[in-house]
Amino acid sequence: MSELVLEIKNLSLSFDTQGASASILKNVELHIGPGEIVGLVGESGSGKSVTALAISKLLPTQITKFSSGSIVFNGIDILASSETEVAKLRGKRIGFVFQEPMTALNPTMTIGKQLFHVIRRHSELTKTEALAKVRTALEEVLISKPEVVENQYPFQLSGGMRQRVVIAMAMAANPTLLIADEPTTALDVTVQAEILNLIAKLAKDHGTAVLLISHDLGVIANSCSRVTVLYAGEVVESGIVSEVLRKPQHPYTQALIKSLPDIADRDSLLETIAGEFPDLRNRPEGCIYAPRCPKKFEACEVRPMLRIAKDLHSVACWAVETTEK
Amino acid sequence: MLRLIRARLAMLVIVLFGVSIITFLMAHVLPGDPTAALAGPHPSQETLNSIRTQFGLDKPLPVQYIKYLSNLFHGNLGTSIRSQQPITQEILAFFPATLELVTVAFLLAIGIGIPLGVIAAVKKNTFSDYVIRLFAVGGVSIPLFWGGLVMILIFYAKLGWLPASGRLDIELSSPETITGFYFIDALFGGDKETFINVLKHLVMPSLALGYVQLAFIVRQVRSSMLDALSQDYYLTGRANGLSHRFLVVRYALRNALIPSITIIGLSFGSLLGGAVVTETVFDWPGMGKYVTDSILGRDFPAIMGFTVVIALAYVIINLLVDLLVYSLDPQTRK
Repeated sequence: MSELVLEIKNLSLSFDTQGASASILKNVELHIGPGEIVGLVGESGSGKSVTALAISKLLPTQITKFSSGSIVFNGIDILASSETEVAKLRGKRIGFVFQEPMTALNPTMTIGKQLFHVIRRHSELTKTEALAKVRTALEEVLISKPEVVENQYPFQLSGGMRQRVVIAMAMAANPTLLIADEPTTALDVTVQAEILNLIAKLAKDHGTAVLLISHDLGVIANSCSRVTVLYAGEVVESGIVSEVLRKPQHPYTQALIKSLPDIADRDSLLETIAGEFPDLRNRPEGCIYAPRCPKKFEACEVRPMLRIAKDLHSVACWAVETTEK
Repeated sequence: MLRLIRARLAMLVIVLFGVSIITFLMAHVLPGDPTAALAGPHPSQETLNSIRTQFGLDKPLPVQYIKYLSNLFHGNLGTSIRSQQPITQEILAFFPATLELVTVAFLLAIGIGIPLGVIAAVKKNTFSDYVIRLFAVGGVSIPLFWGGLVMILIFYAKLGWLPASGRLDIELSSPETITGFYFIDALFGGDKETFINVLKHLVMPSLALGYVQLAFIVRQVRSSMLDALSQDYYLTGRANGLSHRFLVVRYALRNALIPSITIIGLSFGSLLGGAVVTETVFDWPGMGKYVTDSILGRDFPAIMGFTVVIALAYVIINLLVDLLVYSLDPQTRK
């Protein structure tokens, strides 16, 4: 395997506010190879976005406390790097696409100018060359009238168009890694597919690795080669998409897949996961999912490590190990 | 743009019409007889009557109002009961001094207040933020007249750096009137000594008056900035690697200014009110003294004239604010 684009090892972090501390991520493991599209799934509050922001060190510094682990991007130890060093990676080596295209663009600057400034920031292009690049960048994200759009303000564009612009900005400097944090959640289903295809195409054309974050298993299934499932800030399962989604090992992943609505079956009640999301201020000692788990037994009082069940398919569950024995 | 200005000018006429009715009625409803004040002690009934006839005060109210309004359209604010002079001329003589004071105070407040508000927001919950906020609290809580007196005590009485009263030293002649703003007129006049003297006279009153406004601006800008700094587009900008300075100015401040300007502009009116106090403390020959004297002398036409002029100033400020917001906020330009 060639050198990894991103390797997150044993990452734990907490948000410390006055008097209270919440453990947001616990021993997170994630790696992405060059040009690979990796999915990160989990429900709201599972730590997907925090993981993404941590990679670019965009978390609020005053409250974020890293307690263990490392994030290595292209051989650069992110956590050990200074803000200035990481700032040089942002936009240039690591592109970011956020969930909410309606608010992700500066409302008082034209689309063209916003792109222009990002392009100028990361290249040695002259003003004229950068302006030409703005045009091609917009064309590349399949915006049909770039000469019109570049003079428009964000409020004049639809959500899908804005997300294209955000993608164009994220890809402007030809980054090694694109982090797409729920890029389609705020969009119509039809637009959703277009945006996902666009991201996949751009990634392929530019050889960019993608970390695609979503709570939508369908999105992950269509776009990614590998997937990591996050629950309450812990990786519960990870592996090749087809393996994980077709033969989920971890009870949480299984429950997650079961709770997908089936359009053909309109009569039965939608399956839900019983119990409540754990309180991250008091992370339980044992398995994080145990309180809600139907397969819970004595061993679950000890925290399960992520271990390989099959080829590249790792699971953090004692029940899986015992069934395989 | 033109449409906005036209609509605003139409509004201006309506507002001034309303102001004229209200001031006219207020002046006539308030107790106190101006003729008595004018006629001196123990006047005969004939004297009072003749004065009433002379000023048209014996006519029915609507008739008096219509006469007042038609005069107003001709730029005639009436005749002062006390001085027997045209009020328009009197106001023109006093108003520039007040406007100069208020404008300089306002510019100082903006020039210092906006940067301080930005710094406080960017360095939220740090030492700089606390110091700036303390400074701002001072502006809101220290009474204007007291602040002014303390300044006089320090910079005039103790240190002798700055003059305590007036617009210009008595031995210097006032610059030739071009704008009515001494510091501009002195600059055009080319007399360096006069110019510096004028500036020295301006420092304390404008700082005293501007401090209140400055405090207000700091708080307003700080909160709008904090809001802008927490917006998604700011995070996108950071994630795209834009420089900190660029993000603060073009992303955060640019957007934070839109709500700030509206509120700061509207508060310009309170500066005009504060000017009355400041003028008294620093013996500034402006509208403040004129109005105080007019009120004490029950000089209704003068009070009405002053009110109309202030209302006019207020509406014009609002128009400027609207134009500024219009140019800053692309959404209003749609």
